[in-house]
Amino acid sequence: MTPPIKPLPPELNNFLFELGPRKLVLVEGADDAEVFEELYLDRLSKIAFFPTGGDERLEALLQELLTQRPDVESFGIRDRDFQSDTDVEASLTASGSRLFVLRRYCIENYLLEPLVVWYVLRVYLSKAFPWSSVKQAEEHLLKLCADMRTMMAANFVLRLQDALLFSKGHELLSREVLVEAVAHRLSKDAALVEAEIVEREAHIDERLHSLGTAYTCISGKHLLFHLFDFARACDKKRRGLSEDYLFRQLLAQIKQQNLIHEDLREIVEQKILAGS
Amino acid sequence: MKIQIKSLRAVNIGPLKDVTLDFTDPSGQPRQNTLIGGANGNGKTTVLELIFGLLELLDPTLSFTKATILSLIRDTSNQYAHIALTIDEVPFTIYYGEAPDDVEITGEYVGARRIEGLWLSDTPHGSPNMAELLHLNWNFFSNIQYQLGTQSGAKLSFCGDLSMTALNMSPAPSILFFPHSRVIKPTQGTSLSTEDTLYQWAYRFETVNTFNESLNGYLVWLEYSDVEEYHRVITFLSKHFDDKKFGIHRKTLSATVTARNGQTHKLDGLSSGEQNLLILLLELRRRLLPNSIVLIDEIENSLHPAFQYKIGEALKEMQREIPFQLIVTSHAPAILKVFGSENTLLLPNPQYYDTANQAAAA
Repeated sequence: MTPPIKPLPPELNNFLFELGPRKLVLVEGADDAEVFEELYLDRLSKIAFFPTGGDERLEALLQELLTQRPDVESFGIRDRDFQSDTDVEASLTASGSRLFVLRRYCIENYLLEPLVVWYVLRVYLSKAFPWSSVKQAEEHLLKLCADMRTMMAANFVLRLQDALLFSKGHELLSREVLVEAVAHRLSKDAALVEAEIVEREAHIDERLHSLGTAYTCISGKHLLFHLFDFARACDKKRRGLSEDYLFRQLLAQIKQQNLIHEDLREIVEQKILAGS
Repeated sequence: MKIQIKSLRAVNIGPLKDVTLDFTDPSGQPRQNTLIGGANGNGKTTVLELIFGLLELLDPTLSFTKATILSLIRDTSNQYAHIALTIDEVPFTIYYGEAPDDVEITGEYVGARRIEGLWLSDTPHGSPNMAELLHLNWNFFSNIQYQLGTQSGAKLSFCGDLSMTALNMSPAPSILFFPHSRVIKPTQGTSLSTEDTLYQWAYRFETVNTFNESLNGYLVWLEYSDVEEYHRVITFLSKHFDDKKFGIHRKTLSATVTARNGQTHKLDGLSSGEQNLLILLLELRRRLLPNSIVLIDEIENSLHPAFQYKIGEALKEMQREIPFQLIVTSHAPAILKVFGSENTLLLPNPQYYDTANQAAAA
């Protein structure tokens, strides 16, 4: 006799009600779900992406699904955040793995391909477009990454203590202010905090030679914010570009130019859709 | 009389390999509303058919050869179903087929099963084999049979009343089942005929192709025979179709609908979603008695999300007036919002039974 069917916890019921015979993929936020749904629009009869509201909730719900409904093929895709290369690769290569970690910091990093950024801003800025080649777009993105290294290092230190991270815009703060703020949030000595930040900066610096590696440790959400800021500064006519609009234009171009990154293909197409 | 469903067990019936659906809330009381979800082919319709088929067996007027359950359970050696109810708070079970070893039926029960190829009780209501119904409280059961038999064919009013004064007990409810196919066909009458709404213990909506027994015929008859009741019906319809005006064209014996732009058409000219709404609301309202059980398959048929919320609100409003237990199936997220996750049961795909059994064995 199988266990009686009773109502499941509301969140699980909400996912499963819409799921049908598809594979279920939990992602962190609504933006993640939007990206995957857009990129895999032609596969939505086989796969469904549901936002959960964050990495901890995602992992808890995935565990609950795997326990309560083993018949449902459930997976999770979470941001890399500050995880090491070893942990990321383990999630992607372990046999029977259901929780995959993105190789890049977060989903937005996969939208910020130089060719796509170059194309979207050229169309939007028209005569105000400042770059003469895709290479210049790439150099600009790398420079943004370098500008953010201290803030990302500071967030790494904060994350180690489960403290509140700096949100978008804090990159503009000076190094001294950031160090003070971290020391204040952690109630630690500023000199000690600075040493920890310097250590992490060294780790980040090793990755700033190319976008592929820089994107593993610099947040795409923050980068997108600064790219938006840059575009607004170039757009002297102030034609009302919004960050959401930029996000959607980048996403649309990734789709249109078939530039879905190999990392995403590996997880969605090879690990989830092609897997049993 | 009050009847409520507590659970359903189905074994090897269509996609339902071995499933028990729990219709009670955490306190153990039957839920007023239950939404059954699940992918196509997981057995949602089969669940409603089974509930209807098992409850229908209590009908003393049922011809057993036409029983719904026979279309669902053909091989009683490995197919089985039972439904656990409370009738006036007394636990009661109706079963059909050979029970698996783990089945324990508590309380009173009635049903039919086969041992060594012989039917021991092929009419669970007609002439029961008393030897096989040892656990049945015969007085209790015969009272139900008496009441259902006496009420059968009695006239129902649109107010939810039963036009019978002879009964010295509260009227028995009924089981109202709306399968997924719900449309209004064009019908043309040439003469008036009586279209009273009569009591049936187990009513299944069927699309009618003839003027007689159609909603068209019902409304035309009502306008002719009982103006007061007709106005109650029209007021009810106007409330739920605020941009339409319902009327009767006597010359052609037709119920008519006039839209805000002045265009008039017959009932079958309504959109498929409006037809679904009209059928559900009007058929339900004219047949509903307190404490009934209402089963609706694919409630969202052709309905825009706005209309899905509308039907949900209308049903809940009707429940406040005349309480009933509602069980619906749906794929629509709006219907999930209306009835809530806490009232939703999801039927798994057939593969679930293998994994669940493996887990249980482990």
